[in-house]
Amino acid sequence: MAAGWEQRLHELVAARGPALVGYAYLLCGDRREAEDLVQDALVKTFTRARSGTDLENLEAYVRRAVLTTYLDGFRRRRRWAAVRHLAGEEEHDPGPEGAVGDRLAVRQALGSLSSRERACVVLRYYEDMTVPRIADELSLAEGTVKRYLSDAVRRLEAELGPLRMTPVDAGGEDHATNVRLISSRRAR
Amino acid sequence: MSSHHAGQHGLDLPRSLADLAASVHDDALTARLTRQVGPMVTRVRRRRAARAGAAAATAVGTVACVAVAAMAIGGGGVVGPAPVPPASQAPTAQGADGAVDLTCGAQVAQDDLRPHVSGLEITSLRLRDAEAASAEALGVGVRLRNDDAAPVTGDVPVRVAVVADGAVVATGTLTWHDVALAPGGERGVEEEVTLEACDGSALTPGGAFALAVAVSVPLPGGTAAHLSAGLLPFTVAESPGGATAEQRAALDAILDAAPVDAPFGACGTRVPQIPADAPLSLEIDLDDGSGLTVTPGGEIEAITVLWAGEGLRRVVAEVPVDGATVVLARDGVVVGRSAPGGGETAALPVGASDPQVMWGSGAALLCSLPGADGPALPLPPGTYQAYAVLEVRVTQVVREDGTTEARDDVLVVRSEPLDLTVLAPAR
Repeated sequence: MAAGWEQRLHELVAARGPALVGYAYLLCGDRREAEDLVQDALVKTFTRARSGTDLENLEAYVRRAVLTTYLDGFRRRRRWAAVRHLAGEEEHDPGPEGAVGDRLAVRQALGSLSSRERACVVLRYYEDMTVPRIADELSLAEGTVKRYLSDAVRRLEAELGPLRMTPVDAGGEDHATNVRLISSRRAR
Repeated sequence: MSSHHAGQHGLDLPRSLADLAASVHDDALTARLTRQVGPMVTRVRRRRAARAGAAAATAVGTVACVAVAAMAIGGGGVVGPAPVPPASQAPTAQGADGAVDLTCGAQVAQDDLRPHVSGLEITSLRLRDAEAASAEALGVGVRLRNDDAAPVTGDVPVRVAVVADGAVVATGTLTWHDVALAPGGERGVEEEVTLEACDGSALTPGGAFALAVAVSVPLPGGTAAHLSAGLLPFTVAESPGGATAEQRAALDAILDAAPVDAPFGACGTRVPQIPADAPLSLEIDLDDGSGLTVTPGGEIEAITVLWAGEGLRRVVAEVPVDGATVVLARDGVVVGRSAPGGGETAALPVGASDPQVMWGSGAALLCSLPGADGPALPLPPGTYQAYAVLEVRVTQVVREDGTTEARDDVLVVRSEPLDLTVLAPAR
């Protein structure tokens, strides 16, 4: 990254910024907080990244930084948190009434989970990671991850009713690229 | 259970998560992120600089000072061998034996030095290595020529003195072993000389000094020729771990002025005790992944958490929307902070289990005492105690038993301290 890391930061933000914020949003449940998480993760990543790291790996590093920063918990809320109540309710995208309702319900249900349960759910059902991979990412035993997932799904179903866990189609939508976490912690 | 279902087969969780993640995408988000690239670049640069500074400080270790020679005996020049003035121009103010007093406190003038005695001559005096020399040890080189004296054999002691304002302030000894200097020959010695400061303290970085040597050459018959040379000016440059005289003076002025009569957080105020019945408590976290360090003058970012005090369920308080101020203290006195921010406040509920997390900010700058003018200087390198400080107006307190009490108390809440190291400036 000796030459032009600023440009690569520009490119990453332009190309993947919204997807990264979406990922962070699933974890933290708040748009502004998600943006802060992503910015902090970008700063961390570009502070430490070595030269020659390609853009895909950079995104993977940023995703991991988002996750660790979220799990850190203490840093989740930033300056805006002091005046968050002044900003009012978040705006929601217009869309089919049912979709918006589901979205709100899912968001609310995710809010009932602990941070680690929530991380496990997002990594498993959004990032499409295997349990061993999640265990590696979170430095947990596989059994612990399974327990988190089991507890989380039970709690989500209590809120949302029966859930289907079918994998998302591999192509055709933005999520297909979102799930590519191509670097583990060991690669950092 | 929620009434939201996606048909008889239930909600598709992966698809719902993807939908929820995608719901944040809009043009406004892209615009906000794009606007943040510049500030992010700044943050990355600053952290990279801090990491580089930390690495440099580690590499340099405790090297204190760098001596830079500017002149040699009797004339201009640079570090390295320099000619001694011809004997005819050399001072001869000394007594017959030419011995010069280079003990602590002795007054030394150029005219007292005798580089040419009894057919022997100090032909050069030099500081060996400007980059490696320090106030504790100087690399000193002396060359001696035997013009027409008897052969010189044996050990030749060389006394080394550092002179400031005409007086010896530090001394050392260089022993030139097994010299064999026949008539017409010339030999030299160069060694690292450990210095002992006369008052027990190190030489002051930034000060101007001069080097003088006295060489006692044994002569046949048990006598000795006492040669001396100097004064070779040098300065002890500021070290990576040092501070400028201006910084030290400013820091001392703040400490001397303490305690300033102002709410805690102002420059020169003393760190107060935290009352046991304080309605609010504040925590600070400075670790942003780069360690608890900051470059001189650098910005300090912190996460602060405001909690309801012991025995309180909820506290409503007006707090600065800019968050907490991070101040740096030395010896229990605020010596570093940035300029006070704006006064905009917002009323916030603070729960015993639902704290308010806020940004904290500061700068590694020497603060300005009330009425003081002038630009803020960077804090001298070293360790300080960082406190998050928040001036709040408490308007309501709800106790654990549910009783509510209206208040109008303006108070300053502080965190416990965290040690923060101001790094040496990058060289």
